[in-house]
Amino acid sequence: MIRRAKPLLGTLVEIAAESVAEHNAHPSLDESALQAAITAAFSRVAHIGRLLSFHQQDSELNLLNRQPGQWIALSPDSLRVLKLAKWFGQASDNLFNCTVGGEMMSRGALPAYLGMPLLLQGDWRDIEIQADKARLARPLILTLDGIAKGYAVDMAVSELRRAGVCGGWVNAGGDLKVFGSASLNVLCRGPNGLSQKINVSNTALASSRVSQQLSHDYPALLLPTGNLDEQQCASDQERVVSVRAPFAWRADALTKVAGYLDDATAATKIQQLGGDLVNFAP
Amino acid sequence: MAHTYLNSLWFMPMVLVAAPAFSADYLTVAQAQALIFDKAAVFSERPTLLSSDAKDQIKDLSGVRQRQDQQPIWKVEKDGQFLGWFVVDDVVGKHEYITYAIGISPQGEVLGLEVLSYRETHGGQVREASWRDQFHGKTLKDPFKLDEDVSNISGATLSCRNLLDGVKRLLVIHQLFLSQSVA
Repeated sequence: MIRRAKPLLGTLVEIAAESVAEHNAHPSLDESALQAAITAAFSRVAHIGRLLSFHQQDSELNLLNRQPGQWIALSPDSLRVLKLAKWFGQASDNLFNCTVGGEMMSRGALPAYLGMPLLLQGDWRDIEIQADKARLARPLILTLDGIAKGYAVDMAVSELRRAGVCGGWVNAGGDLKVFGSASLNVLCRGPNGLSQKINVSNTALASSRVSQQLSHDYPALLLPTGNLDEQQCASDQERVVSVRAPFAWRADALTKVAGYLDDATAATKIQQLGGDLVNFAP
Repeated sequence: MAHTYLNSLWFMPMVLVAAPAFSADYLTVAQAQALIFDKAAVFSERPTLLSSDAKDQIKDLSGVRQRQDQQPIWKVEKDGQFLGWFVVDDVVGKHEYITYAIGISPQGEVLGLEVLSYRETHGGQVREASWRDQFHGKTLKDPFKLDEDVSNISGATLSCRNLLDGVKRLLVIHQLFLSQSVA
């Protein structure tokens, strides 16, 4: 088992890879091959970070944000994440909404170097996608916080798999994916300070600390959005939501959906959307 | 009788479990060197002692305080050709030091960054039963490996910010004290 960590995506990303000798289905890799696989996975994560980071001023995401109404040619990764975000916004009745960048800016949660937008938020219909380009139908600010990090984790895992690694994990802050022969014990601390251990293998797990109040400790800011009838959470409640799903992008996005709902409703809603609410109640 | 027995409980020493909440040694210095630079490169150690004047200068230019006097630095060459510098450094993560290394090209660009060790001893979890349960029934034969027993990093925003500040500080050191020394 080889593990490395690098500061990427605004957090510390840890990648682990192992090669199991008795695993007949895969050729076993030596240490330098494992290191090379991890290096490739890191550079994939860094690449996605450069494309889709809001904080990187020249990212493809910010090209879109700067020129609403213009068709912008995008790389395949950016298009895939935008498609996922759009589709997920639709599927979740806009509970997952990546067009709230303007509102985040106006509340000081995001730097306003793009200039203040005309609209605070929109919905998934405002993202238009064609074969190899996309555009914003209205002057909004997209921020892919809730999905791009999970996507980067998924891509890092597929990079490791492609290199023949038979097990390992990628852990980027709140987004974790464990695959193949590896399994990992994760301790999650709940909002009441108590924590519970679960074993994670062959799945993705995302946790978000969500709040509708802006504070430095609570990075995931939930804004009143979309289907107001469906939102049941007291607006000042700070909670930790964890969701398990086959892919990290989906788990990541689902934590935002779960943040708006009370536990009972969230469990069914998350299940409908292809995830599994992890209950860490002791 | 029962009363005095209960009373004596108050004087029982409390045993606290003081184990790190998360810690990992990722790479040795040699492994990090091989990852950032070519495997055939030669590393000659050039530890640099920084005077308090130098430390003030670093603080002014990088905005970050230079804590240590002694900075471990290696000069990297391959076949007589100068490749750059390899520097090992510590920054505070959330509560504890993170040890990391960077490679710097002769032009002062970062060639790569590797985290060598990450340790956080502070964690509210140590006081909780669910965490301490992980130690029940353990003997010396048990792995006692953090991955198999204990928790993981979740959200390391502070660590990252401090790492990035640290890299900036190292680049300032390069600019001030290393770039001229091989002219």
